[in-house]
Amino acid sequence: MARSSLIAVATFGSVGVAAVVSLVWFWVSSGAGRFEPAVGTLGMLGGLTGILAERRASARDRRAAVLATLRDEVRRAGAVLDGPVFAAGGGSSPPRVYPRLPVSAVDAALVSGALTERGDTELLTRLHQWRDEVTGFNRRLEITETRLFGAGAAHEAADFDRALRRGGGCLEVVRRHRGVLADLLDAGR
Amino acid sequence: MALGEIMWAPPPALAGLTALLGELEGPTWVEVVRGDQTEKFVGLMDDLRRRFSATGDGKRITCCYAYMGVEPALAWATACRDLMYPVMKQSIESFGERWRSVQGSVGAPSHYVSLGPGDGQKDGVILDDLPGLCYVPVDASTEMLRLAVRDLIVGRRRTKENVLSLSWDFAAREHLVALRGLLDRVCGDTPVLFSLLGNTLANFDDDADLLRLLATELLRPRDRLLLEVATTRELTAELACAAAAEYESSQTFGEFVTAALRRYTDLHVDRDSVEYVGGVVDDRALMVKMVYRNRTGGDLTFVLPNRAEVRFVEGDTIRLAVSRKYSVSGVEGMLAGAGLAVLADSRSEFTGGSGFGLSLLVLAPRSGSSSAVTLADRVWSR
Repeated sequence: MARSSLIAVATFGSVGVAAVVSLVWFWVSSGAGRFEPAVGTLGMLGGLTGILAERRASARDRRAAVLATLRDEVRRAGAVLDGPVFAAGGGSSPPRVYPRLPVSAVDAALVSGALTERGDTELLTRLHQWRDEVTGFNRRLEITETRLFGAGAAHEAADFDRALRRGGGCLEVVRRHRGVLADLLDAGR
Repeated sequence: MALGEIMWAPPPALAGLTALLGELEGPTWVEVVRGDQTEKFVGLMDDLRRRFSATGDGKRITCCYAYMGVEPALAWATACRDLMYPVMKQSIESFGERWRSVQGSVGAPSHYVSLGPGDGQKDGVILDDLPGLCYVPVDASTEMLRLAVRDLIVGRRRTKENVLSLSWDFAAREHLVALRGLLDRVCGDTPVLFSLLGNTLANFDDDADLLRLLATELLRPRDRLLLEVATTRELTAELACAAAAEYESSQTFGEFVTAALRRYTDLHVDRDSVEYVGGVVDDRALMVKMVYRNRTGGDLTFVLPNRAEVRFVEGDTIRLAVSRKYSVSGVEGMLAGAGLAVLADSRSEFTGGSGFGLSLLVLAPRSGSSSAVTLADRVWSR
């Protein structure tokens, strides 16, 4: 058994035993002697529900914060994709450093454990797919820049521009993934 | 190495000549001429004897001859500086900004070969960024060349030792081959920046063929071509009429298109007989034909410089000039056909919401055919 589970069993076991003892104490005692087990039982019950309620509220706040951060990052990714560099119909240009798609909020969200609700399964799947697409897209941008700047192949800028914007290519796919993810995040408000 | 760090070093054969130029006062420079002017007139005489056409497809003065002679050259220079010709004014005034936006993609220091330098205003902007390098203006019109070069030397934007002026026809394959050979000797391995500015390409009947010719005969892998073309947002009959009206509205442009007619014929030129006809051609461009129509109500006879008489019957036309405004896909098609890749493209629209604009492109020869899978395709394939 895991240590966290062992602690939970010990904690709730102790509380349960204490509750049973308090009930038996309340049953066998009489008069003013019943106040003490009654106060102890109600105090334990209040403490338990308070801890659970606080944990639940904290989880909800953390989830809301994570979703807000994700929405902001996906919106910024949309601004990059719709910006002058990647806009549909944008003209060719000399070699340049391309803007990258941000993905740090997605990384943080995936490791935060904030998305654990039953309905978060699809969102988690989409986040993993989006992260893979963005990582691949940004990596291709790096290779493109390395080729154009580092290998003295500035004359190939138009080739790379054409390949990047090709129908059904990486840019189109990453745009589609972003749209799906944005809709999913907006629906989860 | 930054643009302009290398210097123009004249070959030994020219060293003495350039030293002499330095001692001569006034605007002097080296000009290389191929053949004589009478050779050039043979084609013009043939063109002006063509059959009857009511649509401007018969008699014609082609681009090569439209600028020849002092009067047409001066008329063009006047049109270039006409404040009442807004499109020309915007084109020239915005050139510096557009050039600077694409200059970075030109790359290595280059000698500068201007194909059709016009009145030299745009070349002056480029030459300011290419100090010390060789300037080679090329134009069939000796008079246009001299106007452009003289202004640049007088304005001290180029020293006279760094100019090699070529009165050659850059639309002729044999002249291009000779030009390439000359550049190989004079420039060595230094890259060359060629330019074809002011929508000059649109003035040729076979514009796409000319671009292909330049790409195949002139450009080496490290060379670049700076191409400026007029563009249109759409290809519609309404915009074609608007394009025609744009040219028609300029008094000085009207003087220019009729200047060649006055020079080569003894016709009494009536400005009201000049028609500006717009249309859509090949789904790639709007074309404007400037034609002179016999509207006198009777048949005429005009005399050519070789004293040959030509009948010019009622309704017959002489095409004076042709111009185009290309669609984006039209430009892309021409570039693909010529095997040219776009390194940079500065597009600007004229004010007034006309849908017309200019595109200044830095082009390089493609290393392989357009259908080949490039390294870029492999990087961006999924």
